[in-house]
Amino acid sequence: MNERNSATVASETMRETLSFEQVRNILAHRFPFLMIDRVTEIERGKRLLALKHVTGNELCFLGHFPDQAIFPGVLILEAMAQSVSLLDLLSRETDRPPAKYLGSTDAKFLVPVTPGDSMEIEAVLVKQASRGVIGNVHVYVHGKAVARAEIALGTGENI
Amino acid sequence: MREEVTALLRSEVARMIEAPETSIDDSAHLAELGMDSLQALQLLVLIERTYSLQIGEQELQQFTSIAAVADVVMSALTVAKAS
Repeated sequence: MNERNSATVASETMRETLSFEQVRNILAHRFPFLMIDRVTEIERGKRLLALKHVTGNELCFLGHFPDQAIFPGVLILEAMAQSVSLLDLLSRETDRPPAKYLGSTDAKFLVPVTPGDSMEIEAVLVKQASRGVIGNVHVYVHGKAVARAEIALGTGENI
Repeated sequence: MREEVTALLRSEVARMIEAPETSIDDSAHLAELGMDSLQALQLLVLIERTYSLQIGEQELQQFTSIAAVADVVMSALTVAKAS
């Protein structure tokens, strides 16, 4: 069984999940840029629910901002993009380079995210192709939407 | 109908490559116009949403020019209408 297929399957609910270590084995990202702590739900080919816990110890808070810690929108966007990339990799039937290059985003940031917040990131596949993927993503904190985006990721190959 | 489809495609391609619509040749290769494969995929999603169609990877390979994409769309619309 390869890493992509090694997701934990809870015996009672049959809910597929991924631990932090499993996420790290799938995505190429590493500290301080791995923005997914855990995956709590996976419907391959359809959607994924990921968690990113924001703590006061995040490096970004050294400068964003020194007097008021606000998790940067660009890092929320990165977490959304990694969720789409992860869902894409889990939903692939054929081998091809991972879609990890951000092509375009259409994003809205609705509420500031601060230390102590747990972001629930729901990624839904819009379209998969051999050279890229498009996903629709919503981020929630305590059930309230804090950001949403449509994200296109490419493999880096051209037409 | 084909003219409407072509006009939509030309408008969207112009927006993507940030060029005036009048400068776009419908028969020019999309790569020559400056589009990449990811933008072609975004064009496909726009078509699917606009015309309530499902277009596959095989048809995406035929996205070589605006005229060629219009052919794909017209063909898909004909199939959708017949089914």
